[in-house]
Amino acid sequence: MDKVPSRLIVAFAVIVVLAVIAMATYFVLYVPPTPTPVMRIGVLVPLTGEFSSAGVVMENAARLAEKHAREMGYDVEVIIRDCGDKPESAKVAFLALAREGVAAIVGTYSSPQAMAVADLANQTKVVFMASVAAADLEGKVRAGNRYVFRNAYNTSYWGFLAAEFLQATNAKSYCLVGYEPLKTFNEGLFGVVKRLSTAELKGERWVKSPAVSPEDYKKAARELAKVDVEVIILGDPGSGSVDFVKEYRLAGGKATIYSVGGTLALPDLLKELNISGIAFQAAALEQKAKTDLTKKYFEDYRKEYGREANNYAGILTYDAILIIVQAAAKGGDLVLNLERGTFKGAAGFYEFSETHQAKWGSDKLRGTIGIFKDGKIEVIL
Amino acid sequence: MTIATYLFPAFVYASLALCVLLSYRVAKMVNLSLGSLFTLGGYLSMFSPLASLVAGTLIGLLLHVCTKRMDVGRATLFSLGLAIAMEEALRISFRVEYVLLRSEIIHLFGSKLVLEHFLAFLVSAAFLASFLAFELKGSLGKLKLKVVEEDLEIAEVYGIDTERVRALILTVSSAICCCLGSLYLSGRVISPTIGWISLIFSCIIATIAHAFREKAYILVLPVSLGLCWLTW
Repeated sequence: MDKVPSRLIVAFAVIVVLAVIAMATYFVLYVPPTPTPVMRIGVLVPLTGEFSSAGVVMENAARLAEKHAREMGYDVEVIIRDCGDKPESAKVAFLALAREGVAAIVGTYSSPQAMAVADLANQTKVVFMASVAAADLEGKVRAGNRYVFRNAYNTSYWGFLAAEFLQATNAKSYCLVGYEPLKTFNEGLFGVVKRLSTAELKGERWVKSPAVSPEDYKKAARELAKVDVEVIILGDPGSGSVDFVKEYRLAGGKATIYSVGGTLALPDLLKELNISGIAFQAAALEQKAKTDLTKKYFEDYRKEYGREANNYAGILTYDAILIIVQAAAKGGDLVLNLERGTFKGAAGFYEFSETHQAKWGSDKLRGTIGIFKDGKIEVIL
Repeated sequence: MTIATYLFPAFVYASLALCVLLSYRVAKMVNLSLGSLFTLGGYLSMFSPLASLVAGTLIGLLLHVCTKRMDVGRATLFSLGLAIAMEEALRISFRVEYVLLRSEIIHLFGSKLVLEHFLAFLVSAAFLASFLAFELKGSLGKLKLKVVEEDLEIAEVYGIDTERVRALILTVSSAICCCLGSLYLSGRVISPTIGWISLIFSCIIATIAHAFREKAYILVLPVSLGLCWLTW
């Protein structure tokens, strides 16, 4: 057998040594590419309890926001948790989301829930964006809580819109109908209307809680039907507003009813009711696009869920998620990004004030007022 | 017109209060499922007006079978559980933004009325009148009812089939509540918890009437009329 040439052995050994060195270098120096971290956003939705019907639209809107954010190139995961209808249940859900390491949490429906959760945001240092409630969250920010924001209206803006409606329609007189379970919210709203409107106030009537007097709305409606007035401003956003309107028309009342929104702003419901002269505020309406997302929100909602999109609780939850996504994508401190940035939503372009309140009423972000007349919705403002 | 809109709810709440009273005094339980039965009636009215009567009867029977060996506290708790179960079932079945029940407007004596509310008034009036007749007539049936109310054991000693009486009371009261819900909630936006409001108001009427002991059943309607007048 021929002897293997020593040069060949040396060459082979060199190759082996080089290969070992190359592999060792590779394993020592190689850093595997880290996948882009998924942005996780928690959403508190009342899936059970008193506000569960609002929870349906908030959940739908949150899912739609996740889909649209992904289409825009953001890697987002929306995690929905049931916050029930009590502050305690909202707190439990908030803490569960915070433990899951979400970037921020949006939602809740009622004001007491938003107030309770705002304190937790400060303790856990997780940003909370209130997307529906009108509670005094600005007071929390003034008291040093940096982690709470609101993209929904504050009470003053509700009143400002109602006063704008009176002015736009040249109404000479109006009546106020408050709802006692929402007395704080309604009193704030009415106070702004009284201050800003030059129309004559012809009366103020408070509808008692149904638990105390289940039929009081009927009495209020019948009393007001006798008053010669042009506009009635209705402070109840719930189903009681529908009962009031039906009873009022049944009693022969002719005034335009301006609703703060909620149930009486739902396009499907207005068509089913088919009662003319119901005006309402909405964060946005399909008929009046604020950004390119407005139409997309309304159209895709209809396609996905087979119903007309909600124009307050739904659209603001949708926008809250998109605001967080845009702010978090900038990197760095989320609170600073939210304080300094401008963010696009379906209802307009959001900027936040010093008290972390979305600047509603600015040129870039204004509420809309529609009126249901002769079977269709017309935009007034 | 104002009299009609005042009388209709007063009669409906009086009927609900009578159901609460009967359940408490004869069936020995505070039947907390009556509010949810009222709501269930509203939801079922979307499908068939008769469905509420059938569903009410069956649920009343179920309640009787499940609670016949229980004391007042346990039976009441069971009825609360049943109420929550019905609510949750409705919530899961109707996961929508709102449910608006249809209603018909009629013209009666020159006034506009909701037909279904008028029918609810008629059903309530018939129920109250028939029970009042039963109470005032002084029949053997009335005597049996009184004995069952006073003491179940003594009633059994006298040969009264207490289980049958209890079953009858629970099924009739459940069916009436469900039927009234299907009529009186017409035209409203309803939610699974809407019946609690009516139940609370009826319980207040029943509690006041119950204070008059022997005359409680007879005084249910005047108390309801008085309370409706006071809260208006």
